[in-house]
Amino acid sequence: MPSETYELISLGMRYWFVLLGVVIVLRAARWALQDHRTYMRTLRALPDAGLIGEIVNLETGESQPLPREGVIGSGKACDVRFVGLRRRELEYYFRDGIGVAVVPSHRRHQILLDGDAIHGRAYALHGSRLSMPGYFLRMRLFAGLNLPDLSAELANAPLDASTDTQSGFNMEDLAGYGSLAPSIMADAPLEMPATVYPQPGEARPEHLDAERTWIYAVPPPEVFQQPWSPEVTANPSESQAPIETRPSKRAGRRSKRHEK
Amino acid sequence: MKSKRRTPAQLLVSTIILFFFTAFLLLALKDFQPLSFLMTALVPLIFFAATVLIPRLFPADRLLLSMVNFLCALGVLILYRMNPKQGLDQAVNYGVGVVAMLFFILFVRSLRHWRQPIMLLAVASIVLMALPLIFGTERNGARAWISVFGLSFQPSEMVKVFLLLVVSYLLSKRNVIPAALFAGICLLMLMLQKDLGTALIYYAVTLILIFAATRSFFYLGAGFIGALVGGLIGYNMFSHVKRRVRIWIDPWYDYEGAGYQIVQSLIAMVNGGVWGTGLGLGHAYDIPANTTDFVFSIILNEFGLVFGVCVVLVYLLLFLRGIGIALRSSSRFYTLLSLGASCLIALQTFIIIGGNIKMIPLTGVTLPFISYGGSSLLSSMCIMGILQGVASINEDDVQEDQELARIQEGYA
Repeated sequence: MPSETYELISLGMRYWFVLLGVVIVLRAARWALQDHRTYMRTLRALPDAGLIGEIVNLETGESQPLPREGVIGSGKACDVRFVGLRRRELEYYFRDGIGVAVVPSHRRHQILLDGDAIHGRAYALHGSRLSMPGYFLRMRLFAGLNLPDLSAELANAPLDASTDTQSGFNMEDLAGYGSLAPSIMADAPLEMPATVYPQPGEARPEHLDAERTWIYAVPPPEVFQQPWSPEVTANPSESQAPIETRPSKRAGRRSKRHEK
Repeated sequence: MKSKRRTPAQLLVSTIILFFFTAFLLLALKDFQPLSFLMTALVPLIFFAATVLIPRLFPADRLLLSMVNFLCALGVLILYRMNPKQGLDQAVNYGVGVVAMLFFILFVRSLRHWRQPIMLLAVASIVLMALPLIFGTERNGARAWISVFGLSFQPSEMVKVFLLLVVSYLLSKRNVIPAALFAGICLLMLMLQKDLGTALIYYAVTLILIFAATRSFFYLGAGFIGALVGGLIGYNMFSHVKRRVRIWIDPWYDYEGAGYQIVQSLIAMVNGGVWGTGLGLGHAYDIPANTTDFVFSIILNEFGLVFGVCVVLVYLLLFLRGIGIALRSSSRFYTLLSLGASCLIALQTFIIIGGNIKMIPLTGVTLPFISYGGSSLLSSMCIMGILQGVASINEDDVQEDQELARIQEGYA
């Protein structure tokens, strides 16, 4: 092609390329925006997305959502915040098939999991009790309930003398709190694994109620008037030596500010 | 009859294909070479295959894929216009890069236990970084290249990907000191290779990841002070650093010597104006390293300022998309990984475009996806593969949540 003709075409085409460039950016931005809106709509429709359960303050009945992994403490950046704790008190992460690994952030700590002190790392399960300075918390999970050993153990455990060997708490006492319902779990037939869900429209087996922990309402505060009285506390050592609540100076200041 | 409304994906992909088809056709009309006509069909075809077919194999972020492929194809176009041989090489690199991206998507998706591979990658990184110091050849003042069977490559580009994986993994396990130590060893080796541009990227990405993982302003402050001290030491130790700062402040003091590159680049950009000189009509041949470090100057020269801004916006969208993927990730490791990947690409883009337009001192790094170079394109595509892998896992998670919600509705 003669160079003059090419020059003419190329000079004209530069506006075309700029136009296409602008259109590409606008369409990409529009797509990104649309995609973001769709994602947010999906998230709104799935309030439990990205969560593994909730953590309940047994004294007040308040619950906070529990992401798959995060930090519990009083700091602003913590995923689960409780005023009065250290800035980063405990780190946790969910491991499918094992449970929620809890790792205290500080070597010297006063955290107990099901009444036992945590050395390095421990695994919490659905219903595990977490005692922290000033707080008695309970894990209420809807992920990781398909732990084969745990479900089999719960199903096999006799109701009259059902003491969980893993965590050391009394099953009968827990049944009183409603949210765990181990007695229902105990009725579950062993041949039906916990992971098998019925399809929509099918009849719902009653034993699966135990897995649907998110439907349980937060128990009323009066249930927890004396949560760790000797009658309820499973671990005798815990009832004998209650944890001393000593909020840090910084946390104290913060709580005063809240009161104001 | 009411016509079927096209989706945003279809609209974007068709516009990009139209862009490359007309651009390559214009270049083909200039020289009437069969190869040019082949490229007119080949590049849009690779783009289509990489953008439309990959998401059919597994869930992938199609917008991210479209933008990455747009930038890669733009690189092939620019390089083909400047030097057809380099353009053809880049097209082959692009094809290999797509395969590498696929491999990394599968790698991230399928791997559940990262400990062993990460340890292997850490050892491999240190060995790879040591190779140029022993067998390396010096190019543009940096001893960062090695040749194997006639093929030369830059190990630091591959280590960039490994660094991302290793540091993200260690930080996700809250091992800050080992992560900093590993990055420090890599940095030290880069300093010995005198590859300061890449060292800057390594340092900044590690610092960002440490801050994101620990949320500690102490580490951030220490990192900034370290960068300041390192910069001062580098300025006083290396003569070429001094020279680069000098030509950044005033490129005209030695416009025929040290400042030649940057002066020619500035002239080319100004010459392009708002609309550009026209594809195939530019005069960017005078810029040394025009297909590697100064490829953005060619874009501004031939396509103009408006199109250049569009390219920057595509990079910005890419970065924001990467951040979005990081925020949606369900695990700490994936969050750090995708954050690091998007920051790495964004930083590299900022450093080289900033250097080209004289905003910051020039450092010899490539413009991701566009600049000529197999190692650079391959590492960028691997990083995108990692990002795509995490996006794919996120998509799986959402689908799983939706499935659970559907079961719930069935109960109710």
